[in-house]
Amino acid sequence: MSRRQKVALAVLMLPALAVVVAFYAVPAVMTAAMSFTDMDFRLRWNFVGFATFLRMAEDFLLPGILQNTIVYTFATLALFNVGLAVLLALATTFVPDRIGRVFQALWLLPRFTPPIVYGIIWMWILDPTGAGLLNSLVVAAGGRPVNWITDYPMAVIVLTNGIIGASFGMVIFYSAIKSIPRDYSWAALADGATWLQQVRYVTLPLIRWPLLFVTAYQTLSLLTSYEYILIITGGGPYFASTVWSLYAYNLAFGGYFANYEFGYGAALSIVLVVLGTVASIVYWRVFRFRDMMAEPKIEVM
Amino acid sequence: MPELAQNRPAAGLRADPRVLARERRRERALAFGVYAFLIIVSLPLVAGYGWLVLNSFSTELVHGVWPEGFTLRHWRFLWEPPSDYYPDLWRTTWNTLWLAIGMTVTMVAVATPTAYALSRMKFRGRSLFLALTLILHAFPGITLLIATYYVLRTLGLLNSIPGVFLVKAALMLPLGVWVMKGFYDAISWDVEMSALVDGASRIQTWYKVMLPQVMPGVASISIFSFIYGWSEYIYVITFIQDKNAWTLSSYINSIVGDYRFLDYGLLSATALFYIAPVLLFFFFTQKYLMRVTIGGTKGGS
Amino acid sequence: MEATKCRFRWLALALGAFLLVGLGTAAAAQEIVTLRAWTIGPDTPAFYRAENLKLAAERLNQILEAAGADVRVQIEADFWTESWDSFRRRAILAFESGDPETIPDIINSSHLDIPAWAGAGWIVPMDEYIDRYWTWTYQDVFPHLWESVSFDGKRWGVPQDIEVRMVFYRKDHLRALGWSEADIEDLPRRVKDKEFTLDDLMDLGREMRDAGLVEWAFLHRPTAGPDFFQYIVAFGGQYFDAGTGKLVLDRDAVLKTLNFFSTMSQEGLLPKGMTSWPWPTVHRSLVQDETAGIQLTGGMWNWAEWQRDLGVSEDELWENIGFTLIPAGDPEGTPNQLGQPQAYMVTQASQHKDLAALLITLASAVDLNTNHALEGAKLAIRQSQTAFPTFAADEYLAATATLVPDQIFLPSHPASGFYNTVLYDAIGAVETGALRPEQALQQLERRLRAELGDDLIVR
Repeated sequence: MSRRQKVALAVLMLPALAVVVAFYAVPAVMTAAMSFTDMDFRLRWNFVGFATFLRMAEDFLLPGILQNTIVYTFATLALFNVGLAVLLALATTFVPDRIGRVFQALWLLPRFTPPIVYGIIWMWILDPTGAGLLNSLVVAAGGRPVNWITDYPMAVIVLTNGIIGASFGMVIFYSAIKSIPRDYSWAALADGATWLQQVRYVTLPLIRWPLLFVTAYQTLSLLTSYEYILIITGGGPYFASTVWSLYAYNLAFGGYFANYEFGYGAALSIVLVVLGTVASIVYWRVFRFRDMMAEPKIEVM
Repeated sequence: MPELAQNRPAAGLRADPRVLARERRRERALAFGVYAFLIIVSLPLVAGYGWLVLNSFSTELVHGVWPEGFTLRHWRFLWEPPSDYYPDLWRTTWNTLWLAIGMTVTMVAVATPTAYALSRMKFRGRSLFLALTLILHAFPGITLLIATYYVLRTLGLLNSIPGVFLVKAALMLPLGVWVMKGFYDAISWDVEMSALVDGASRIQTWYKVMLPQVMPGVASISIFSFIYGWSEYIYVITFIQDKNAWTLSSYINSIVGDYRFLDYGLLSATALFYIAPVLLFFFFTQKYLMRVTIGGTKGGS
Repeated sequence: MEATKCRFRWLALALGAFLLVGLGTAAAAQEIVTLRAWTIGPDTPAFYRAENLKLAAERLNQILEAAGADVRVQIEADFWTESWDSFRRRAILAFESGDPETIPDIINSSHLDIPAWAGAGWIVPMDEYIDRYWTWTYQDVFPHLWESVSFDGKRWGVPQDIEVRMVFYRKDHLRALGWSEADIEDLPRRVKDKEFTLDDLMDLGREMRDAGLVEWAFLHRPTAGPDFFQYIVAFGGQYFDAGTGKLVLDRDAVLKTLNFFSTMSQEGLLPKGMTSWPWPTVHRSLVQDETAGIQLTGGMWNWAEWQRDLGVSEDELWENIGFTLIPAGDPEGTPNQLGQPQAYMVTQASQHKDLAALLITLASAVDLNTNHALEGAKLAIRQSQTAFPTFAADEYLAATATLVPDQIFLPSHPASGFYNTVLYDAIGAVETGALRPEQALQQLERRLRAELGDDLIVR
């Protein structure tokens, strides 16, 4: 690479590097260091070696929480963030644009809604007495009100997060489907393919990269998400819907009276990062992301 | 799909009326199925947001479901604050806008050049950087809160909206870079090549030739960042102590309080006030947002 | 005689204030000293916590004017209605910044924050000020309130209010069960005298349910809170050892508490998923829909909230809602109610500590604090308030004030909050049936030990 090239590269990359280093990499490294302290609300850097990690080994709640995390992440991913997202993208490309847009707007709405308001909408839908939407239907049908959150905690968190999560994939898949040249689908139709066959053999293979990207990216998003769970189920009943990141949050800031276990909370998030990194590496290999990054041609010539 | 022909479905290819009728029936059934799917999966959203609207205009919801009595009293906050201890609504709205715009500008300024370099230039660490952005995404934002606090304090950015949007932009950068890279990847090499052959530098080429071509990409990350900036909450409430720098999400959280008693009417009205501008914004910009490509489709299968 | 003494006090105060503010001030034009205060509800009716500081500043300015001083005090008082955890996060990050521009001069919070904040050196001991203004304000503050703000032998705050956490029950259901008005009126006395225990309360709930009066005989708060410690005491247990300053896990009493909640849930008297109910639904079920019979963890301020937010008149409340101490659980247990005093504190970073303390003192005036008590349904902090006309005329405050002698507090220990959370978790676990009471106790003990180590006494 020539000197001029290097300067150009530096100019182009510098803003991103500065922002990522200052506001992401530095805090990330500090958090890693924090995991070796017993930092509490006084924010003192009192290093205690591996004490926080030893405490983790003794924490009998963690196996259940890890299991919840895995179930939550992959169920939400498969059913909503990828599954429903693909279906919504296909459906909104199938119907006329004007109608499709209304549904897209509707599905993006939860993303614009403050989390607390979204949570309160669900509290009304899931209210354990006859005053909630679902239970008013149950009661009208002659049943007894169901306490949805207690009886189906995991289903509730998967559903409520999935409804928000689906829109991300929907946007990306929709764009990808729209950019498939018309000729491809017409050709398939000419061959007598049904719509479903066309989806299976033409559309899905052509949106392979977006599918893989969304899968990888949203796995990590879901691994670290806790906000809606905190508002809607609070992680309960008795940790039945507590995921790893919520547990870390609760140790740091949660509880009736915040616990401020910053050291232990940081250690827990380091584990989460390790999990996320492992997942990324697996995806990177399995999905062969390197292929997606076709080598730039200009330097080659 | 190499064997796919490039021809259109010719009229009269399957002239048999019985076959045509069957086709039509099948198509109608398919259309019916697609609409039914869209409507059914969207029902909870319609119900939830419908409830918000009803709440904001009714004096009471009987059994939490049926509206009774029309009123505008929940909208009083537009001209008189809920109590003396709320900041001015319009100032708060302005702060929200400033945060959203700041976030948008930062994202575009940082992601656009970087994505170009990652898409078009060959350098060591290129795929490492891309992989790293994904892994950083595995850091739960909340656990970085304390460390980020130190960084902002060192930079003198506490208590300021720019501090918040810089942090938030850093967290969203991976997404922005990946999306922009998708747009650059989709541009033909020939365009750039001819500019370079004419003796333009990389930066000139990027700025004069490439940038105009990826404007739809700039539009879509702008929209994403604007929406995320508009709805940011946790960093605002954590890094800004002064109520005069509140944004609308802090305002709404204050109305919710600790959930013990909820003025559902006021809450719904403020939530709608908060969501409406973004929804309008979205309707006008939707066609740009819905063109996000990741990795492009040019690779085919 | 009394009047002259009074006038003398004001004069002394004016002079003191003049000196305080005047010191180090150029004698030129009128100077304005700005003080900042952070206060919290989060319940909206508690806004007098901020308002009283503003009114106090007005009074101080009048005195300064009368004394011819060239100084005026301006107060920027903020009132937080969001949530306790966001308030605390905001406070510790402000304290940690060390920036006097950010840190308020006065901060109001729960007495439970004192051990942590004093330990971190963020707030200053107030003994000096309390002694200085003793005769004209603090001498008649209820003595037990000083205990709540004490830590490490010093007083770190001035009590701002105190409430009662107690049991609410529907009188109309009792009438339907054939109780006479006299029986109903006598219930609180029987509870106090241990004639009516938690066993009887449970039986009462069973009767309500069997008579089809209620959907749920019992409800309790759906979030962690200090209220549940009341049941440990009701079952004869302790949670704090004053001698060593350590937290106590009284296994026997905690197990009885867990059994109590577990039995109610198993018999269908209390919703299995009580811990995942929304707050508003809890209140609505008891007060509006009348589908619940007894609220085990009520707070006296609910009375104000029900009227304001649910639109129920006070007459209706008197007609249908009764309240009492938490009944004793067994013969060694104590009927009790728990109070969680709020306090005003002066920060270490304040540039005007003397003035801040003076302002707090003025805000603790009988009439001002009574405004707060009436608006927010809180109890008096000073003996003379109980004789203050508007306070004395309030039937509800007078009735709840009779419960004061049986008051308990949470201990002044930095880990009180953690104990609180794990106890609540254990109760939720036995209610849903996720754990048997013995298992829940065992897990609770493990979590406490992991957090506290040697700082815990297990009995």
